[in-house]
Amino acid sequence: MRWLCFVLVATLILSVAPTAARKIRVVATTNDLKWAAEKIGGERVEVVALMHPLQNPHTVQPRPSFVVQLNRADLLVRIGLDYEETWLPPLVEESRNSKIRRGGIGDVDTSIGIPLLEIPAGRVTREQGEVHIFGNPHYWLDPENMKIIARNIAEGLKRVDPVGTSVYESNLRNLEREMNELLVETLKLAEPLRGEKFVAYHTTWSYLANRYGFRIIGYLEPKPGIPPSASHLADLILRMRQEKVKFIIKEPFYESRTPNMVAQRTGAKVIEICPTVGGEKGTETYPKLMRFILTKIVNAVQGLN
Amino acid sequence: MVRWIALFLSGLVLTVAFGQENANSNDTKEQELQQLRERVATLERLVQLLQEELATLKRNGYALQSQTQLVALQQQTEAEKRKLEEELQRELQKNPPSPAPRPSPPAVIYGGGLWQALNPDNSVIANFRTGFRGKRPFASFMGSEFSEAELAFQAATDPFSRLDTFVAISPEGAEIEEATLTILDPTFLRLPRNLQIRFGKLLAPFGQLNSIHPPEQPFVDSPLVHRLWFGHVHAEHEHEEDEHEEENGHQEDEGENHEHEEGNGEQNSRQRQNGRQHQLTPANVPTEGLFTGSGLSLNWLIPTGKHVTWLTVAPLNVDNPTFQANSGRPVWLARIRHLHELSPTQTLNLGLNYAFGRNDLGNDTRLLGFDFTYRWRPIREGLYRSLVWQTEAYWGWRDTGNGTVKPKGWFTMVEYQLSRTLFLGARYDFAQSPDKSFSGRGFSLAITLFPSEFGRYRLQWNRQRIGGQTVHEVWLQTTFSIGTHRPHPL
Repeated sequence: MRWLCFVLVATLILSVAPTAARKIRVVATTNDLKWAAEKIGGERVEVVALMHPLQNPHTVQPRPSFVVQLNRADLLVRIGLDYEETWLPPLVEESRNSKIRRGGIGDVDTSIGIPLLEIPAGRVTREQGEVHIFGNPHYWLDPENMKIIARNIAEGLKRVDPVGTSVYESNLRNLEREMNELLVETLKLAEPLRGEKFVAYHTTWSYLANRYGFRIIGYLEPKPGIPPSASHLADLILRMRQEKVKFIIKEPFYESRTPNMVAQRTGAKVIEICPTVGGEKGTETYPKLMRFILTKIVNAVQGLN
Repeated sequence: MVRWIALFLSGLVLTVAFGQENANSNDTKEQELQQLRERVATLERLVQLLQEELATLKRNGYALQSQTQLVALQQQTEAEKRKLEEELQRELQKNPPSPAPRPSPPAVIYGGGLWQALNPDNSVIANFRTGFRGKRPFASFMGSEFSEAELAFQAATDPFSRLDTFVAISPEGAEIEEATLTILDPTFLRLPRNLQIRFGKLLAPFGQLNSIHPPEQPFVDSPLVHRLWFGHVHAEHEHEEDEHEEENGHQEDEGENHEHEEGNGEQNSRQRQNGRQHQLTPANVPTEGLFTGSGLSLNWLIPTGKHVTWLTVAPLNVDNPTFQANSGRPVWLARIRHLHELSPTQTLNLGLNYAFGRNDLGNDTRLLGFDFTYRWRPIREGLYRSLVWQTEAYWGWRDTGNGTVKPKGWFTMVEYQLSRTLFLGARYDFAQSPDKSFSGRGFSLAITLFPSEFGRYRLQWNRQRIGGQTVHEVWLQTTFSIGTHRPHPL
């Protein structure tokens, strides 16, 4: 009889206890967006990132798990412009999830409102290589832009989960405050970089250079996405010698031979940096990433000077 | 009196509380103000530094040099550049750089700006090839031809569906290769969202390679089984057969020279006037084969853990050497495809295919197919290395009225990415003709160079034995695309 009472009471408790609300499923294309979505969504969201931080965005191999995640997603957070254009649209289509298709309630293009750099002027043709036709999409490497990214994410979350509006707004304010502090801190940290000249492999670092006052005077790729040629490298080496450029920045997913060849002939130093959260130890969050990147460049500059 | 004291005390408490709140709020504002002051100070320092830099540049940078000095400097720079260029060229040739384009995903570029808004994605893929054929490589010049210009028009029609049209224009004329209306969101028809419905002229859901249009496939020609079972014998091939018969007698005569040519425009035009029924023989095997048909396709997506399975059923009106159009009933196709994630860098695609319809004799033909595709691309070096291994095997049961003929065919091919721009491919294939009157086998090697994502040059060597005759083929293919071409899904 006692057992029967226990079972009845337990059943009653379980039946009246509120069922745990399902978390909002967010799929972000990169780890940087994943970090921002987690900061804004807090406990109300579960976030996955599709791209590996050490992966070149142009060579993402679509995997079946991407389809599964997109199929179940409430929100898709993407860099936009043409950053994921070679692999994301077919996957979204294959996911059969109309919420996350372009213009859907769960589609968040974080580039909206970003003051973009390097928007090509005039007619764009493939003569210009794999030029980013809407402007440079590596805009997350600036804490000011991270605030805009966060606002876009908060708007998206409010659309799919209006109940959590106050939470998202409060978290957004916190993130904006954190970014303001980060900006003050990193501007101080990056003071030695002001006016320094660099050469990069690809156009990844434009927003970082713009914010922290250093200059990228040339690229190892003659045009975006076009492999370096001997003629272009010869020109670049001469320019580096003339302008006394002492640093080459490259991402881990580009080969090292060409930067080393150029470095050997110019006396420059190659700095390898991953531009994405989680690509290297000590870059698990966005603020850590920004500090890590700037510290690495500053150390290189100060070490050489 | 007590009432007044109580009122006074309440007022005091409220004033203190309000004052504290104000003080807290003032503290926060003060902190923010302090941060802003620090930021302004930092920016001021930055402006000062930039001004100093500008002044230095102005002081040093405009030192005038004489014309002679300038010319000498320029010559010195030019000489230095030439020397460097030669040196770098030597080094690059010695050990080719590890760069590479995207192997599979074709071009996606939205050149244009606002005036392109709402226009469909338009692209042209131009395919030009030159071939040699004979008992030895380069024995006989087969001709050069602009084999195909594939025009693609693709766009969403509305929030629920999209239209994709591919028109192949070749020396034989224009042909709609694929034109499909895909309902991407069938919930407006109160159907489950994981169902995808397609209408129109489709690439038949039979095997994995058949989902790719010929100009984008990894070899110049299609595998033999596709060419024999699904290819269309064009007029010029028919003419070749005539010549072949005149010169060498019947096709079964082994050991004779079966060299033949294709791509001669004059011959083509003469043959286009010939309305004869085209018969598949060893001498007129087409270069390409694509299994297409008109009708309907229902595709169901089943997420299984971190893997995906698709079930497809498609009744199609098909006309090729295996199935006959207008036979009174459609060809029924069914495909089950499973895409398995082995690791973040490796996937395995498995497919089981079935087709059932009527052949040219009005009797039943059934096909069974199995395919697997293994893909590998490392995370960090994905721009420079990748591997695709694809194998497909088909079996047929063709009712001739006097019995059943059981042809079969298969191919296996590997493509390895050597560097950022270079791919090496190898293929071995075997197939019997649908009526099993002859068979063929071949080995191919292809090296493909991608100078950019939008173009490629390919050199291919084939050694084939078809209907008892051994021939070598050497192909040079150039394929370029302009406009916006959507990447292929998974």
